[in-house]
Amino acid sequence: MKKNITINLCGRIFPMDEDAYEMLSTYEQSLRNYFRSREGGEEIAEDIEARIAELLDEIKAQGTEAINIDHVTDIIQRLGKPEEMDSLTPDPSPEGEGKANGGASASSSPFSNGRGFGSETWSGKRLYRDPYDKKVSGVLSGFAAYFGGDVLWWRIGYVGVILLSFLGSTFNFLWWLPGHQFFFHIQFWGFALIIAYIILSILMPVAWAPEDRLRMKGKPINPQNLAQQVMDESQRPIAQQRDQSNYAGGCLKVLVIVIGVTVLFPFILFAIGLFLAIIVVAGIGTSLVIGLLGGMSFFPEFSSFVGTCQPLLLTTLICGLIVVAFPIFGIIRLLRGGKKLHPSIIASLVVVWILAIGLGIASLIGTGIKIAEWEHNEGYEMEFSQNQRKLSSIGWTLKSSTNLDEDIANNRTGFSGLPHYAISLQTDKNEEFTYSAVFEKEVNLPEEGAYKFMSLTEGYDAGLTYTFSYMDGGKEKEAVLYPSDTGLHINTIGWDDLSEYQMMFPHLDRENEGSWQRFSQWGEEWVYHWIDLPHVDAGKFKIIIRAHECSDPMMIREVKVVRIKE
Amino acid sequence: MRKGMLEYCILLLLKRQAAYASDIIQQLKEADLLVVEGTLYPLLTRLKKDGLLAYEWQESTQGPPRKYYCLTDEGQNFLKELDIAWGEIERTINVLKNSHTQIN
Repeated sequence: MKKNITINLCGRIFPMDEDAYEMLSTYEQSLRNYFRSREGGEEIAEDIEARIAELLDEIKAQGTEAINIDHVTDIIQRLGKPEEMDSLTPDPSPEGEGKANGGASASSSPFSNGRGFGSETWSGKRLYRDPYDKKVSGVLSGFAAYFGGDVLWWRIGYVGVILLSFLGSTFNFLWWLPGHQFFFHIQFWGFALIIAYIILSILMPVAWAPEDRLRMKGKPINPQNLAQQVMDESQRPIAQQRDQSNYAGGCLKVLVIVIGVTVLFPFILFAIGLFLAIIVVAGIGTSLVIGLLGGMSFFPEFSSFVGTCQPLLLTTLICGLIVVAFPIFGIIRLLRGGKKLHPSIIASLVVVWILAIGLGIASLIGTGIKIAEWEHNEGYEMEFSQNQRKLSSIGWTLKSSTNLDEDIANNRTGFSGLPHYAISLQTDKNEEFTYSAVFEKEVNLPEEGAYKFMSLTEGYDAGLTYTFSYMDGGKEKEAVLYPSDTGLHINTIGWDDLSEYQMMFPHLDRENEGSWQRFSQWGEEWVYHWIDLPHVDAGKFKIIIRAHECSDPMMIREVKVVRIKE
Repeated sequence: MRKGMLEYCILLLLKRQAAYASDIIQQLKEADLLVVEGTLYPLLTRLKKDGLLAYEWQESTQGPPRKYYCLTDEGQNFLKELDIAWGEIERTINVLKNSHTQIN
């Protein structure tokens, strides 16, 4: 039983099956689309329509009650698909040529070979935008149809890569991953993908016509497939608009989504981090919170500690996510009653989940051990600088300088939002771009022992050295901390080199050799330097800061000496 | 090549008498010149655009009015040129064919 429709074509009435009607109207639409851009295209389409009416008339005259899909298929075969009609293409394909000559014997029905329209010119797939499955303009669903795979994964991958690239700088903590450079210099990957999308959505044609959609999926275009396609599509809701103006709106939509998610992502990440932090706190107590806070705030020793723990913390984070997320997704799947997963997939997911639990617990314990060690090392500290004070007022003496504006050096509080700078060096007002300065400070160490010297400097500091004069076993000694003494220029150093020196090995064994670590906070580059002095007598301890031939403003936030407990 | 042929044939048909699209299709099909019927319509439109054809509406006994196509003066001239060109092609082909036969 079939639903019947009455159509009016060129002033004549034809009863017609619904599927036949769907097929005929898509055929007509594809004709109109094809000839639309051409002068007189409307007329061509109307003439062909008149011919269709004539042919339908003939069928009716043979006593057919209602036109069915076979009739329509015949008519479409007779008239040919739009590309075949096109007289502007230089020549038909060789095969078509062969048909015309060699096929002469079967003259009365050139289609008796049953191949239907279009099979001779087309083999393979084409890239189309899919208007029936689109979020913005259907480019990705076109790709999914062309290259295979579920369009959902294409979308997740696409948006994911854009997000990753925009969030590159927030991914600095991944420095220990192989291939991390990729994450670092790459905002343009995100832009490239977005621009590529816009270009593709302009260049790629839309698969309005059913035969275009067959081609999009790489199916051969024959009446059977076409009829199937038309039937499938007639089942769809008519919600899809064939509105071209939608398109700019679509591009805007994707931009808004991308920007929105990019802006929100750090907050989401933060929320997840906070959530997991709460779980972790319940597990191992408040000491880790101190560590995390230390990492977020600006105490170098804390952040150094968090640096050493970061791989562990990250592992905990990822494991925690897996442990929490898997059951949630499982429950969601159960509730929605999706397709059943293959048992082997379920089994491997369970294995991953159990592994995540194990690894998560292990990394938590590891973090705990690190914390214990770290607390063990903590000694009392002596501050050589005081926050928010002028240089001169905290006992630093300016010994010599060239081109240094003392007024700026003494009073500057920094150009970032950070509130405290103990010492600021700044180029001259007269735009002399190099300067040098020597500052000194002397203190009394109350007891002998091992000391650690630390400083925190912003940005470019290749011209900076710290010199320490102290007594060791009655002998006068001098240690120099050259921030760039590693032979690596701070600003050009690669992250690969960095990982060799920093974080994992905060205490280098060699005597009198300093070490340093770079990290970012609020978009600024900071360098943390330290040197361990294994034995210093009680008494006078002198620190000399030398800025040689500096061309950039130098920001020294903090300088301190900490007693290390044995 | 075949497209050109087709145009030539259409002009030849219309030289004899004005016809409407289905007539032309019928005759071309009898002569095995048409693979799909739809090919004719873009051709007719193009010839009309080039000024070689014109049409007028005529009442039909069986249905709505039909477009009857006929040659314009320009079309007549163009057809003459085509005739000459065709004659030349034919001559060339014949020469080639005959020489071919002689070699054999």
